[in-house]
Amino acid sequence: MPRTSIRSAPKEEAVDFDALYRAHAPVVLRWAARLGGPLVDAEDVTQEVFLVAHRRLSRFVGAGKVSTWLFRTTDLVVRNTRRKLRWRRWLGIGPEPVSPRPTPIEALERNELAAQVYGVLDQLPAQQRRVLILFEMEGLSTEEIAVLLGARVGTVRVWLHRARAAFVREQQRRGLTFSCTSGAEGQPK
Amino acid sequence: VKHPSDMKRWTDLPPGDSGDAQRGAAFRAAAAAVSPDEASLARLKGAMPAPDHSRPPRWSLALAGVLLLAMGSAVGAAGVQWAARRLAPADDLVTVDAGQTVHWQRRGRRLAITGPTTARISGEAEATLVITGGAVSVEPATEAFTVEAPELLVKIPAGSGVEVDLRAASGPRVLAHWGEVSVKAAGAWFKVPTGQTWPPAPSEAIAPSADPAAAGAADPPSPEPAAAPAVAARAAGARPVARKLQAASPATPPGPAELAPPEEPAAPPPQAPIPPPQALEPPPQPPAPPAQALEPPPLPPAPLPQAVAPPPQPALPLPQAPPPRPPPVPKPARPLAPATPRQVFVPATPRESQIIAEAFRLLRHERRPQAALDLLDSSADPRGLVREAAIARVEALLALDRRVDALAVLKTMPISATGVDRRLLVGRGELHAETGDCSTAVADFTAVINSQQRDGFDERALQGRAACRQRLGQTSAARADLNLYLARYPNGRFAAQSRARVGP
Repeated sequence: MPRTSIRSAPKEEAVDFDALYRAHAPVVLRWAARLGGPLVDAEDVTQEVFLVAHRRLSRFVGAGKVSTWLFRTTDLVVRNTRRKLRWRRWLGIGPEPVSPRPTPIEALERNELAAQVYGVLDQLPAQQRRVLILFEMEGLSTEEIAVLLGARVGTVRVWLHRARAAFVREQQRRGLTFSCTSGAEGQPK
Repeated sequence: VKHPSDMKRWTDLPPGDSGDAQRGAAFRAAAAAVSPDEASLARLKGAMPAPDHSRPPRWSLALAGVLLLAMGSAVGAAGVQWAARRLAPADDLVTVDAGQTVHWQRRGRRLAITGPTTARISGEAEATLVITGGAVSVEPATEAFTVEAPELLVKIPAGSGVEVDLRAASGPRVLAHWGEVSVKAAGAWFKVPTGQTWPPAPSEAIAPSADPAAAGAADPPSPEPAAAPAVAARAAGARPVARKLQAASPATPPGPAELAPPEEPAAPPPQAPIPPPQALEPPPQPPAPPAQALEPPPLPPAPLPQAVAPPPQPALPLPQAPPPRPPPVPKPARPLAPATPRQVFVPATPRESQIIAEAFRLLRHERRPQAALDLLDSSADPRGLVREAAIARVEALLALDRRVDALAVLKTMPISATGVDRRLLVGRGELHAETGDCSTAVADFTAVINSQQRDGFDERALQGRAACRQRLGQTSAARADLNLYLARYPNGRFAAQSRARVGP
């Protein structure tokens, strides 16, 4: 499973948009897909993130790490997208039309196991959901998560502990048993 | 659930039957499912729009901010001005034409102003009328009023009537029509009783009052009367000297002792400067050229019917019955015309103004001087105190060639040497000369000449004074007048005549 290496992110003194895009687009796309889940178009989110990055690049220079800034931007865009989706579901409008090309979401929808995992994750508070995804899926350490979220390490660990407990409770409440029948789960590293 | 500090990731656990291992496998599967592939990344690169390097024009934002600030400032300033106008003491600027009466009223104070003048009225804590030119008659109805003029302050009690005249070249003048008023000039207060003037006539004596209470004024007098300008000189010390000069024969100029100020002036302030030079006769001239070169010239014709006329006024319908004059406050009885040669005039009532306008219309448009005179005799100005009525009467009498009667009316009028009065003054001098009263005529002509205005009246006055002085035997003075005329008006209408009289 690919992991984010924020240590390899370009420094702020070398901020150039083309270089920024080349270096961070795969990471941002993965963040968007994993934070957004099966119902969010990760490519749209990534485009939106880099549009915002281009618009605000001058404000960012010298303000911190690029990866941290991009993650927060991605997180905000994902939250806005999920909020809009919830409103559309509540109003009965339905999800936005999806482009005909095969997307990771469509592939995910065919994977029932992944859908079950995100179904449980969506019931968690946003902070716990975010921390659990970064820890389990992205493979980030608590220190790296603290850097991305701008929180202390101890706080991140508390969030992660609560997120795990909440995930287990929600799984048990739903009566889900994750039996790995498909070969998509991969191997632990 | 173990604490993250001492536990491993679910996704790091090997596959097994434990719950954590199953959850780890599920997370791995979910992560693999949502991980974008290379094709997705390629699509993203192709769909990514080219970054627009054009930054928003921030100068426009700055300009918009500046404009908004300017507009806000303008609106704020307008609001402040509006509030200041609403809150500040109100001033009224009134322009009063000759003979016109303006009734002003605010906060219980009522005032009648008769022009000609332009005045500013402050109607707040202390009602004040500020005039800068012309003449004005003021009748405060209910409360005391203050008139401010250059070098002059006049306190007018309610029910009094005062005329303040700034037209004379010699300085401001105050006429107390009725009621006693207080005049402050050069730091000293003077009480002007009914029917008298300030500065007083030579026969009158108004002593300055050092006590403001005695003068009936609220303001204390200035403690420094020694710094009095020429007004104080006119008010007190200068007058005896003027009388001495007047009593002296014009043919014998006063000696140095008579020109000096009196040793012991009769009234304070003790310092009595020398009167203004225009009041003095010119010094004796060197021996005159042969007298035969100067023949008594004929007096210039007196075109008085046109000269003394104020501007024509449109005909006004005469009301059948005179409207009641609005005097809500009882006033003390107005004195009749004083016995002094100079008449004290009062403002015309609206009824009188209409009748006077009709008289002028009869005179100038219908050429019926007798009808105008009859109208004035029968209807207008029963008190004989309205100045405009007197002017109309003079014009009608001159049109009827009743010059002696016209001169009699002119003799009763206080005439200054400025403005419209210059016509009256020149005409009166010429009438005096016609009747042989050359001394009085010279005085009238001198007043016109000394007003420092160069116009046709100045020409006539110079010619008239030269003729009168010639008749009085003052040939050198007459020659000086003719030379002065030629210096001022080398191409004037009397230039050739003057050169012929002066001789080579």
